Amino acid sequence: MSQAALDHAVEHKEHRSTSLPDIKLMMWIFLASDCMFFGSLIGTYLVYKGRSLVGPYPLDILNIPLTTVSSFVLLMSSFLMVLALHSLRSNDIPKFRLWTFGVCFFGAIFLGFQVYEFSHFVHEGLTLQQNLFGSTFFVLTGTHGVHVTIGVLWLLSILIASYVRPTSSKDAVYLEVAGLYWHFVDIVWIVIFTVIYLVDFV
Amino acid sequence: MSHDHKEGSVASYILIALILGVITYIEFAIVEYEISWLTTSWTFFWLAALSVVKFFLVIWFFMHLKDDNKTYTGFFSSGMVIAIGTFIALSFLFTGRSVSFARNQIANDTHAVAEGGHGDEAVSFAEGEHLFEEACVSCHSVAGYGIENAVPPYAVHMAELAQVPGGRNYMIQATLFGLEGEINVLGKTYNGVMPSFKSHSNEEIAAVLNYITQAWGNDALLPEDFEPFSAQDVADIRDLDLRPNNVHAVRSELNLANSSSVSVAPARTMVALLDTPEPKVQTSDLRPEAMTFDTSVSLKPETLVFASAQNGDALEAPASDEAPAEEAAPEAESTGDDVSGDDTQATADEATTQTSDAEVTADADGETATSEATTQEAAADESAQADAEEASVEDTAEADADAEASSDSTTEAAAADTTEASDETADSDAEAAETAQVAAFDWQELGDKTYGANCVACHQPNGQGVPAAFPPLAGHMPELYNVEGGREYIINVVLYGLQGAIEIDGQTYNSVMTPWAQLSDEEIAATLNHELTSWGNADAVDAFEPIMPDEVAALRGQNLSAADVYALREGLALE
Repeated sequence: MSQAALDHAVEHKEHRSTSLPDIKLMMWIFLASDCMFFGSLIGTYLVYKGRSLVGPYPLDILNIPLTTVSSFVLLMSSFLMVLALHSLRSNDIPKFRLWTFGVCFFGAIFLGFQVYEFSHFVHEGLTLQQNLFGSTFFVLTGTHGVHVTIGVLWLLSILIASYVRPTSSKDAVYLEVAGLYWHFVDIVWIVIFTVIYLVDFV
Repeated sequence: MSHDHKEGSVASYILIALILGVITYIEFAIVEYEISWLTTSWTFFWLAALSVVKFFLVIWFFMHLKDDNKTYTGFFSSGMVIAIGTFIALSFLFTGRSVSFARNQIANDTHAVAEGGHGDEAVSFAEGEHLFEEACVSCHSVAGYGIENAVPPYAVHMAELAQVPGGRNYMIQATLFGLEGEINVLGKTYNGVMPSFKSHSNEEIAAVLNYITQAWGNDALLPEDFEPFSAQDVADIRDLDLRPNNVHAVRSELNLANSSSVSVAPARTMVALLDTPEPKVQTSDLRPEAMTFDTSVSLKPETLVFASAQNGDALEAPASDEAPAEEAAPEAESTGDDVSGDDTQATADEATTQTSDAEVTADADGETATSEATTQEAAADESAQADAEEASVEDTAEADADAEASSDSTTEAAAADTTEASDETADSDAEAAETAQVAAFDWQELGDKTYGANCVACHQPNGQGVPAAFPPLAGHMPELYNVEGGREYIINVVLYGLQGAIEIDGQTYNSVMTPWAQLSDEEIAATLNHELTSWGNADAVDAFEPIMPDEVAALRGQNLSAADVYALREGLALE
């Protein structure tokens, strides 16, 4: 490689390091678009709210205590996520692994709650085809569940990668991006929990 | 490259996590435990505020927007803005008028919806909503869903009704006078009882009708020139003084797209109903207890003729229809005396719907003949009731005696009479008949009437309630009455309502019983006595002493919430 090219590369790298990491910027742009996606789904749910002509209706079937617990679990997974990132930045690899595993574990618990909830609803007669509530509810919470699943798989892959090849604080940006995604999934659930679950029981 | 990040300490993360956890618990507590000083609007406000706080805590601290490059915040915010814009656009697109109504409501509760024609009788959407929540919501649900098989939904259906010829008048009639009989709404059948709301003013009825025709997206289905109901519209109809089954006949004349009764003569519709081999809902069941309510509403021959004439006006039926109606009336009188209850019902329906079709009458008689055998017990009970009803105009005591004499299987009526008559459970019929004359509190008729006007829609004529929605009174009232504190508890339920999941015979009910404190002490006491002695409950009650009006009066003024009453229930030693 010629000296000029090397200089250029160094310059480029320096330029990059003082500016924004592409991958992180990309994630934020993706999250902005995901906002619109969930905004439409929540809007659709609200537009069709109260227009189901047959049951089961939200009041018959939604379980607030159970959902409160699963919301709490998801919030705490976000907490573990920042701890994992903090540990990795401090080069504390064992703790990074522990917390990352914790996030995956809590995410899996949340998914477990959702699987239980969905199967219970189907058992009670609420399916995607049953009524407008069923259609909009399953599409919205199902899409969120898919996001959580992707998040869990992503973080698991980072966790496994840390055993396969040396990992240090230099790799923190990859975990940070996965963490942004994870926190976003959490805030979407904050909105869903209030708009879909809580307000119906006021 | 990450070392230049200014990031929070672990302690600050723990603090944020704690705050998030506590907020989640507060949200849960607001919804789960009824907080008396928090009004509904404030509850919504706090839920929204707490969620927004959680949202920003996470993006600000956990996602590091606080210390990170503002470009990220910019991108994310623009996404949020577009998302919120999309959401608002969606709301306008589908419920444009609802949104503007909601705005008006917030801006000014007294804003008039009426757009002309009835200037000074303008009624507000907000008032209608308020009335709906007060009077209708226990059956038709917060969002106008109704109850499967029993109470039809308002969403879509009201907009449909408001547009067919005669539909507006029918809506007013159904609200004023109630509705009884199987109906078809958007392809599904319902067979509940809509009580009469005659006691509300014309303005109130117009307001609630305007609310239900425009709420839940109905407004989007209405034509642009839809004219709101005015108090004068209601006043015009009020004079008709119809009965619930007359209103049912009016309904069957409506040209509803989803109803099977299009262009079918009313009488034929009635016969078709009687022909239904297996009634789907208990209301039309042939069990004796199911018949009592029908009797009280439609079995008085003299009112029958009167109502028929009135109905004739409403339907603008040919004048010649008056004659068969009068012919039918004596028949109703005689059947009331000695034949089956079912027969009586059929004839009564005929009279009110004014058919001149002899074939139809024959059909109806043939049908009832076959069902007569299965309803002998009903017939006996029915005739006793009918006798009592007629005679009570002159002399209640005599009517009681009459009722007992005319039937050997009127256990229900007899039980009610005897228990009322004496402080101890009287075994002697003679004693009962005698003391009935001096009874201080004559609750039978009042209780039956009050139950029929207020309770029947949810708890049903046979006291069976509606599965999974409204708990049964039959069988359950004695359980409550027999435990310590149960007597006060049932009064409290009626006065203050009840909210919370309860379990009866393994079935969970989680609906709302509305408070009925607006009823008089006499009405509440009479209704409870009626419930404690009807549907076979009389046999299960230990040492029944009628609840007296002053007991109800004594429990007023406690200012309990429906949740407090629920707590009282928890304190009862129920099995």
